Amino acid sequence: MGTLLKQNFRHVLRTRVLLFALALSFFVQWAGLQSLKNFTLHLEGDLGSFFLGRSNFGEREGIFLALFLHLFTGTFLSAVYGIWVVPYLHQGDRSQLTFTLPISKWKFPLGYGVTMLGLLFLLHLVMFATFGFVFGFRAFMSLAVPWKVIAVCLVVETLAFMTLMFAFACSAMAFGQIPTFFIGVFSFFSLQLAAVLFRLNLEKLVEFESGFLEWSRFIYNKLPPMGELVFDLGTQFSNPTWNDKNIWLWLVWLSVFASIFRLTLRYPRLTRRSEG
Amino acid sequence: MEKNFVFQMQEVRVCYGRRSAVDSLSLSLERGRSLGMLGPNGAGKTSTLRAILGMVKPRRGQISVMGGPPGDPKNFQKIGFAPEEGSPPEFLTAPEYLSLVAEFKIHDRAKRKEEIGDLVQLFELPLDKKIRDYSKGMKRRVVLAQTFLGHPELLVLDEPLNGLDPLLIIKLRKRLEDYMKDGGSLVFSSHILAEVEKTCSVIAILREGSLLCSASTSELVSRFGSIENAFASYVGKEINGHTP
Repeated sequence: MGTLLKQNFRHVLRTRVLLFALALSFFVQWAGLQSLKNFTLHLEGDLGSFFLGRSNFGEREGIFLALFLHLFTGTFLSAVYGIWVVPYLHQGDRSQLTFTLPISKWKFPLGYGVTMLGLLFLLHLVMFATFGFVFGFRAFMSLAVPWKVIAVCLVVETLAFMTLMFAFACSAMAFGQIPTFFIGVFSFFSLQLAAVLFRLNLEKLVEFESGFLEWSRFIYNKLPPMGELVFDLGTQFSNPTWNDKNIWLWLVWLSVFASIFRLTLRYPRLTRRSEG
Repeated sequence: MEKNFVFQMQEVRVCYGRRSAVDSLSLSLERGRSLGMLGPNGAGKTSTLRAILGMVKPRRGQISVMGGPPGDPKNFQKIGFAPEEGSPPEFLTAPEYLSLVAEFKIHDRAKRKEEIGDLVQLFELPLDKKIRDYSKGMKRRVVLAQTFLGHPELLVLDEPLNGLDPLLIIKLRKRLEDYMKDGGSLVFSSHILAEVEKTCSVIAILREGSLLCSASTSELVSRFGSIENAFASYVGKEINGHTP
């Protein structure tokens, strides 16, 4: 297992995936948080004192925004790692050599899962570090949000990114890299749209055939709760109650996609030209 | 399935979609012997090797490899395999890739280091260059080098000579001779008939997925004069008027 992890980390280091993901995360977080902070100062200076007396935006909003932006950088990392890095050893000319390594095929999804956890840990660190750079590291001592709330948000995000990574990897193994990109984008927007419809009760504004709505909601509730992520974060911040339904759903889908990925390793993915 | 066979295949049929690559193939290899697989392009040599290694699921028939099912990861501890079109991970150097494979096959660290050193020297592999910067022939050397790690009981080499320079071919032949002397078993698929004749004790000739002949090299040579004549006769293209 250690050998596999060493190889995985070499892969992400030498292909510069890690460096790029961390740099992108820092840039996105820094730009977002700095904008929020500047907007805060602007309100305080010009309008804030007139209308509000003080800013509405502070460290609490800052950490929420950081966790919100984390959704994009984490999804990006899941896509890159799942679509390009994970299938690398199991497709084309490399697949036969990987297939004949004397290790259980279960160790591959396990190794990729642990590696992804490591990458996400680094991504979380970048998020906190950027927050510290923008708001000052002393802000961590006086956050108006309990650390438990932040921890729950990070657990949900981590589970979501792990699940997405395996979902992307399964799709890339079955359909290839480019189709997976389009499948991913389509699924992402469909789930977001469904979440907005159901969460904000917008479905009441549109007339559907009887039964269709219940049926759609039933299916939606069983799918990976991708569209629920933003709402889950918001709920944690506004009313920190422990609703573990989506966590369980993420865990179930994580197991499902990891198992499907294991099944895709049953035989090497041979190219058509080599079917002699 | 008997224990003195490294593999046994009975009435095996391998298909890719609707196309049949191997049909009703029965073949076996005794321990300590070397089998050369000959046949024109599309004869089913590579598919037969893949079936032995569990890389494709036969539609029909039975395969036993070292007493177990094909594709069992435990068996890969004792098998060295060089595919015809195989490329190691390109972000590694040759010693790093050999070390990766060796860590799964050899538990003793000193022994591992020693074997990797020997193979790097034998196949003249660069130490620091990433595999992505290698030529096709150099990549081939890395693939071949990893097959010898951990002294496997069975070597499966699919077109091992493709892309190798003559000096390396001589070195590889010598290494295979030593391997056979140590009691190893070999399955060798190639288009180079003379090399198969030199290396293998048993020869199987395939055409369009069917086994045309399986006999000892000496028997074929005494019957046809050379392996070249035997091959030409069996695949239906007459040379010097030989027919099977």
